Amino acid sequence: MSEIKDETRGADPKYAFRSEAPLPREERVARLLKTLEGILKAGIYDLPLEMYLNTCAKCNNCAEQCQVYQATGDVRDLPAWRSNLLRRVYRKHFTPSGKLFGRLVGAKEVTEEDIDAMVDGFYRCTMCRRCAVNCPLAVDNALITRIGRVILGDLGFAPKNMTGSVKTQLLDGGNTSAIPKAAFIDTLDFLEEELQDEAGVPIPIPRDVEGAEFLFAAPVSDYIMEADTLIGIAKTFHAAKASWTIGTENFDAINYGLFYSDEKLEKILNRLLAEARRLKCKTLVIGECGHATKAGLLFQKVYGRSEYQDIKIKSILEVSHRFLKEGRLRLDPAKNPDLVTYHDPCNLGRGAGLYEEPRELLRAAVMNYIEMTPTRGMNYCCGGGGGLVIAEDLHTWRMEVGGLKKVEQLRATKAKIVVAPCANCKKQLRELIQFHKLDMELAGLHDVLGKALVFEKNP
Amino acid sequence: MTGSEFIAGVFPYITIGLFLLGTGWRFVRWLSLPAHVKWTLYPVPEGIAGQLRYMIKEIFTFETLYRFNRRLWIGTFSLHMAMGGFVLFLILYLAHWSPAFPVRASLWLLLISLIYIIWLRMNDRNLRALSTFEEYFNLAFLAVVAAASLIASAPHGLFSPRAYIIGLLTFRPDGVQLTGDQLLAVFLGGLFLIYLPWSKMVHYVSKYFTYHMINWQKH
Repeated sequence: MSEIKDETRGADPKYAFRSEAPLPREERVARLLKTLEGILKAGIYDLPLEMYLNTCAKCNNCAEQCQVYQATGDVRDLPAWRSNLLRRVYRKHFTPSGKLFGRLVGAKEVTEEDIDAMVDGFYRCTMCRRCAVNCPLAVDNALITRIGRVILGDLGFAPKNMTGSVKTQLLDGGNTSAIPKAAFIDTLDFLEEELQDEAGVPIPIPRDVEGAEFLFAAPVSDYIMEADTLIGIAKTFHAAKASWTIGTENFDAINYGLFYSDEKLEKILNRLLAEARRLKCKTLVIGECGHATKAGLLFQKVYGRSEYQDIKIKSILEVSHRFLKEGRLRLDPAKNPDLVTYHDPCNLGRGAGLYEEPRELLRAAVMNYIEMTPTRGMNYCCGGGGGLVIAEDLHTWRMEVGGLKKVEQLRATKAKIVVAPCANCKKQLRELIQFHKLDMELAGLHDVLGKALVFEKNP
Repeated sequence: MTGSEFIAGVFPYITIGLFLLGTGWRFVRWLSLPAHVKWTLYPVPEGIAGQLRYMIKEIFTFETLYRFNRRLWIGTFSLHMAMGGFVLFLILYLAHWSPAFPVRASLWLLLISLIYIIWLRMNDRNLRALSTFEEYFNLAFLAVVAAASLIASAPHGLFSPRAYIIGLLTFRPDGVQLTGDQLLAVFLGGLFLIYLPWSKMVHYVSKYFTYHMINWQKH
């Protein structure tokens, strides 16, 4: 028996997802401590991180908000338990009480097995921040998950699809879908033709226009998967007579760095800001994409280069909403007669406070609208948040665990269309609808808005 | 100066001093930490009035726990109300506006709440999984202080706790002879106050930061 144990000791378990190149097992503990020390010294997360690591009362209120725990009932899915994987290491190595009293104050030396538990745990959290809404002490486990992921990323643990996409994106002129510039321009031409057919009037998609007010950047996957969203956005800009452009050097808003690497996040964000500067645009508008919006809004100040600090970053939801409020959009809700419901992407709702803007746009563009229950700050995550939707290895988990609450919620609305202005949510919701056979379609917010926009045929 | 005189007449001042120093240090330390990344959590209550309304409701009802964790709420709400009640009724008692009974009733409630929470942590599967020695120690420490205070505040012949505390407050603590159990209560209570700012129970300070400086920090 002991021989078998000895043989298995030190071997990697079967992880839920494949990573490109994890460090050798024996090097992980030292690297983890070094990376955590680096994060604490860098001071980017000073106040929130210190508060969250030091003040959790372990009341377990978070479990009642966590849709993953609600689906599994597994102790490992208690948000406070998961956060404790990192908290106890922090206390052991970076607090006087932890160094002095060890386990008596919940501190613990980190082991290779603890790191295995982190790989499992931090990738079973969608970083939706729902658990923070009703935390009596306002502790946000999602930030701890994020820091945990950044550390794991440094150890070589991150879903292969994610790291692969980022590598491709960071090549010269690269993007996560590896679309060559020429093919991208062809796609824009194709979209223009579609626009002409649909609207009956020529609607250009401007590219590389210097001095345009808005530089628009969508998640590049939209150009492959969500043409209707892009058509709707082009129509909206056109209807509002806005000065806008797409940059052909860097057109991908996706920033997977948010999910596992500050270093990558910084590079990707600055590439996008550089494109805005190249074209002398004052505002960078992020398309229907929750995580890219959040990466820009939250991290521009800390990771954006000093020369890019004057560039404003906005979500397309805010921009279109402003056009609506200024009376620049003529909408005919009769074009959208079906019952529509709205899914709050976590990064746009809890992360950016964009609750009313999309609702006001939808109410102006559809005949029948129904809210989900619960909604806004308490809305459930799609189940693929925190970048989990990118990890194909986690597909079954996303369908059967992560997205289970969302499915119940969608079903209860009896809506025919669920609108989600986020590329990751769209992918996850589309898969959920298919997997759970829901009688429902998925649409982007600008798909619906574009359909309702009315243009003068002969201006 | 004998050991008893030290505990009765000097230690309480050291205790209060260290408690205030510890709490102050925590506050200043956290205040000095910048929040580079604005980790705002929406929706943010509207304006100062909205934020105050939220905090007052949370502090006086523990609404978040009440909604989602009713079993723990029973214990935690009682515990905090008992602590508040203890301070309030003690002031009223010292001012001759209240008898000693409500002070002792608050201590009883405190002790019962603590025993209940310890029991719950040991018997609820999830709370048990989350609880470390530290959680039990904090609860047990306070329970011991509450029990010692109950014993010490029971009628002791001619002794008046009021006279002793008034003596401390007026900086004339000598002249009062405390019994052994009373000295123990003063000593344990003092230790707890010294420990409090350095423990996780410092959320009487941290909540200001996690709510006002992080969650409700607008861009």
